Amino acid sequence: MTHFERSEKKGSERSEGSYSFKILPHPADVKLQITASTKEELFQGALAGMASIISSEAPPAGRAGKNKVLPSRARQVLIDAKLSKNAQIVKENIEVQSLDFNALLVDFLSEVLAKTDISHTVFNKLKIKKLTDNFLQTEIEGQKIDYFGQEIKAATHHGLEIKQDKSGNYGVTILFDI
Amino acid sequence: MQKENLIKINNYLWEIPQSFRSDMLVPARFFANEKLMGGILKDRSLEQLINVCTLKGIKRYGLAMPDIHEGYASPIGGVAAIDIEEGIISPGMQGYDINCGMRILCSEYSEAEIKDKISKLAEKIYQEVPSGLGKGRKIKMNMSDLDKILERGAQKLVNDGYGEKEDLENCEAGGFLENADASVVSLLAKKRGQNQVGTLGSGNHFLEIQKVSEIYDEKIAEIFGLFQNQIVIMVHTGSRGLGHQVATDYIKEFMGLMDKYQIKIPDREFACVPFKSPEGQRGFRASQAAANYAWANRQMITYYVRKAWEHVLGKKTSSLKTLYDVAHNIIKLEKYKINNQLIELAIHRKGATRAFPPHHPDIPAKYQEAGQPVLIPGSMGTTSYILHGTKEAEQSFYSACHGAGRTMSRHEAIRKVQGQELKKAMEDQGIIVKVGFLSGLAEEAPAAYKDINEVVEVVHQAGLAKKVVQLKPLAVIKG
Repeated sequence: MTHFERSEKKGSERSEGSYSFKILPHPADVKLQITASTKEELFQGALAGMASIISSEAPPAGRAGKNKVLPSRARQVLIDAKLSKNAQIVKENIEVQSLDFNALLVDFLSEVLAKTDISHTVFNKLKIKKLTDNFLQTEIEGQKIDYFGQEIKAATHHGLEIKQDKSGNYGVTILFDI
Repeated sequence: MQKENLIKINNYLWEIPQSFRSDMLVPARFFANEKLMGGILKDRSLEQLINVCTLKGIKRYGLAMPDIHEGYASPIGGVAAIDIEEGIISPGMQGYDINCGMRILCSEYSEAEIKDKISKLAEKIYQEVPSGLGKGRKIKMNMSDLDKILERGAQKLVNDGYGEKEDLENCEAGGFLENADASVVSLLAKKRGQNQVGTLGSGNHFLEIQKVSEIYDEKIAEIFGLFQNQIVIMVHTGSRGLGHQVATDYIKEFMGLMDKYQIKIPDREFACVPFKSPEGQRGFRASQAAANYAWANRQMITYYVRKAWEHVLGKKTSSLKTLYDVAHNIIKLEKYKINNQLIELAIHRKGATRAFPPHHPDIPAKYQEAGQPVLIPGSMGTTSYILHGTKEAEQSFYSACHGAGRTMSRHEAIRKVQGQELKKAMEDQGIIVKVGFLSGLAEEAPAAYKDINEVVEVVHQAGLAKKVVQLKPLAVIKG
């Protein structure tokens, strides 16, 4: 089981917190499990987790070559978006209105996937401007990439339920159609 | 699900009675033999099939083909026939890759005649057809041309010189569905589709150079123009980002309308509205437009494959002919007799290939005696099959399997199978491998799939379609 853990210091707009994600097996698709201390971190964790699926074993912009394969460590480096210093940084604004909080997370990831497909960019950071139970306004940031390691067709609503545990941490599992 | 809950109808057909769960509107039926049953009971595919049986307007049975495996909403391999007067339309019941499907191109050459050119041909096809992950074509199509593709599919490209009239004759629906409407496809979906006509995509999508390795039915093989050791080219892809976005858009919209129409579903991915509602009609026309985009995609790939073929074998060689092109993720209007009344149904197929019988009005004149060619790919590097439609398949609303069906997750496959070793093993079998990333190769390893021979045997024995020829890969091209 692939297991990534991320703890990162917040920018000035956000409070202290952390998230972690791991990829779970599924017969045909990919499941991503995220836990986070805040709702905002849950969205950040989902975005970073999705970026890790998309960028798995893909060489960064400017380094791709036919039939060349980077070691699996490249995935981790890519998520940090540090490997290709010359790669173009892309920022986009997203506004999503949804039925409820569960749908909001999926709809947000769907918007990101569309932008990923159009601009060939792996987005892995976000600055949330407004988040309610059915509305999200955020800026996302990512890096241009020549090749994706894994093409995601869709983030699905299948069995998705955001839950809060006794310590107040949020948890969710998202199924991606790949 | 326990085996004792199943009713054995015959050696290849099983039923879950309507009484099994109170919200089932019809019984569930699936095709499998004892050997495949073990795998089917291991995952949640039968639970998902039961969920299909709760869809409003479903007729006869919720059905699944022998390559059934767990997905989301419907299992992969699911078929739901929905009465358009009283029932719903559900994009999740066809999947995000609208009109993912198969096309086979036939050459007039045998393996012996061009064996020394196969490697060069594979390399040239790999160069001509963008197959990498997220790779599009360099030129973006203008929106006006894209709208025409959405409404006229492969026909638009053939009219523009990217194919032959015969390509359309030998394509499901003649290469386009008339109910398509570009105006109900979102701008976001169109932007995603602007540079992806003529691209394979990733995952299980591939292009293979194959040879006819075994003939089961000489007479029908001859009607299909197939002969022993003949070189053919198989294309597997769909509607790319445009189709994914159309499904995403309408699942989101329909989810917000469930209360309005008082529809209850066991999984949000089934999000649906009445087929005849204004929203349902819009969703249907958008889905048909995405299906047209997929036919155009496979048509453009055909154009580039032919270009590669001419480059390697010379311009004087005869052109590659389209044997057939058929979808396995789609919503189609088809007429069936239900309670002695001929009614129009919205057939939702998610990982199931349409398999029309002989004398069906919607198949080409030259296949009237044989039935529709049914194109079934095996997992990468293994055998594939061409079958023909039969009248017995009315029991499955003329549907057959769409492939082998996965048994192992992609990530598990990547962990267990070394891409480099798999490549070598395939090359040791004489298969040329052109692949962007070895992880992409590993996740499609044959070990991650059911045995295609077993799956096709069930299709054959159950009468859903009958075997005509077996195909063996000589070269695999994928992202």
